[in-house]
Amino acid sequence: MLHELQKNFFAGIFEQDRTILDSIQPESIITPEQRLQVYRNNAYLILTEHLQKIFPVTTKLVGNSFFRQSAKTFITAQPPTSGDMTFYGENFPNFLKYLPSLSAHPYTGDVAMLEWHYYAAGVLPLRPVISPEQFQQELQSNGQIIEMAFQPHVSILKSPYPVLDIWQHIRNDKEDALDKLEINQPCYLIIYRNGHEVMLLSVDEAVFAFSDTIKTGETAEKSVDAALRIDPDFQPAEHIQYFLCNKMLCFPEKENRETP
Amino acid sequence: MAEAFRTSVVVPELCNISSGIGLRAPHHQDIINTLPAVGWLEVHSENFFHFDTPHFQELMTLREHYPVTLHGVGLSLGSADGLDNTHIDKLKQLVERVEPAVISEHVSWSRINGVSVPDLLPVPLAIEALEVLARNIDHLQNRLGCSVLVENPSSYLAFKESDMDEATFLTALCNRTGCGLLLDINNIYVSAHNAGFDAEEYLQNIPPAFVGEIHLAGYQENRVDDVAEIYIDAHNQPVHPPVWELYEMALSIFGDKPTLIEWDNDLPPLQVLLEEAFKADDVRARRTRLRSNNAA
Repeated sequence: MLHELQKNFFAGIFEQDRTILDSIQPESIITPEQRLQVYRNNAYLILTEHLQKIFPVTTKLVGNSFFRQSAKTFITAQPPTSGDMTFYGENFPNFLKYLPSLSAHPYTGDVAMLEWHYYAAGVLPLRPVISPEQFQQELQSNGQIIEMAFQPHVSILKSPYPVLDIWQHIRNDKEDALDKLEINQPCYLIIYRNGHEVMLLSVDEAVFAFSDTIKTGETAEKSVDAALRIDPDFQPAEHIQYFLCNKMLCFPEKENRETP
Repeated sequence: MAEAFRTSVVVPELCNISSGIGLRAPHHQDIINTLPAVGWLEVHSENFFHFDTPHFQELMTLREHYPVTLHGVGLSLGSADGLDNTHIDKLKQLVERVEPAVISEHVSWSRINGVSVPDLLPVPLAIEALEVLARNIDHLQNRLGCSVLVENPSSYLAFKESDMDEATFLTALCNRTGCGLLLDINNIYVSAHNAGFDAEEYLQNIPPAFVGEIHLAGYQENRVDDVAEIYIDAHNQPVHPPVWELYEMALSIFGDKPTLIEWDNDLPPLQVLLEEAFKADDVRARRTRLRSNNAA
């Protein structure tokens, strides 16, 4: 009976179902519908504010009213599944990407994706880093590149639009500058945390391919091959050095390693 | 199994110290830099489930200077589906790292059929919900290996199924599980207004020995129509005068209790929050003096 009541309560919040109203005491000048509305408002308010904290630039890009309406649709379609809300909103960029009303602004979903990675970089864990010394030691003793992975907080983003420029202009209240942007400029980004600061690194397509292949769990050799297919002059050493110096690399988790 | 935790709800680490404040991210650096004379800090457990992040490191820095309490908002103790063991395991890992003075949660639910909402939804004050809550609290305490405090939530409606008052319900819950109460005075005031019960009578019906901690916060008055108002537990303003009065009455009934100021929305400068905590200290000191005088 309690299960049924709780199921009906959620249906009352997320689906505007009225069944739960029969379970609410009516003896008051405030109706059961008005009382349920408090919980409905709270749920949508808390979840919308959660999304707006993660996506402040997207909010400015589409406007507060449109954002809140989109968030409401998203929340109804994909309510949270965990009491730990940290990663609620991960699917919101893709939701925006395919929203028909945003088809005239096709970069919106990718700007939101950048914001998600920017947020996630600040909350994802830090695993033991591979130091430049460990890397050199392995290279010298075995003659091969150490097995490595990106830290969980490192994300790789590719967009057919200049999302970094869009994000920076809006963040800095320079929306006027958007009109001057060439909208069909692809953008390749690495987003990572350095100490307490989240960093955005703009890279070329070859470095993107190299980094993206590492991120998918492939070996260093395959990652270099992926970059060389785009740029035959690609030099992995300087990029690996950058990753090492910025503590972006860690050892792969054993369960994720491919068996030969 | 619940018998193992049927001990005193007195929290030695929080006794005889100043009142605490809820620790929220915008205040982290301010508190680290100034180490204000506040008794302790309370954090929402779920905000620190992910270790090795900058915020977690800041919490551990503050932990060196203050007792910390963990206050959960997402465990859904009243869920008929039972508890999410992944959530409990994260909480347990956090407990092992932080070594909190108190672990607390709410007498509410927020998850059913795999869907969650970040709110504190009411349970019917009836035997079935009592049994579900008791089973879930037993499970939590067994898994954590220690007792917890549970907080009375604000409520905006009552269920037809309810057949006891909230004080009776909470007392039965403590008796069954050995948990203690985190009594939120603002929530009692808000619920009393919304449901039309007597807040003072509520306090009189709570056994003082079950009260391990007190919360104070600000509420918001929301007009429903021309004649009716619902009070919302908004945590976005100072503690209201009638809540301070009810708090003083609570201390006169329960004796001195560790007290914490909550402020989650429209967060003010840290100093405003500290002044609320100092105000709670003044009330506590006054009640203690009165009690001493009466005893003499």
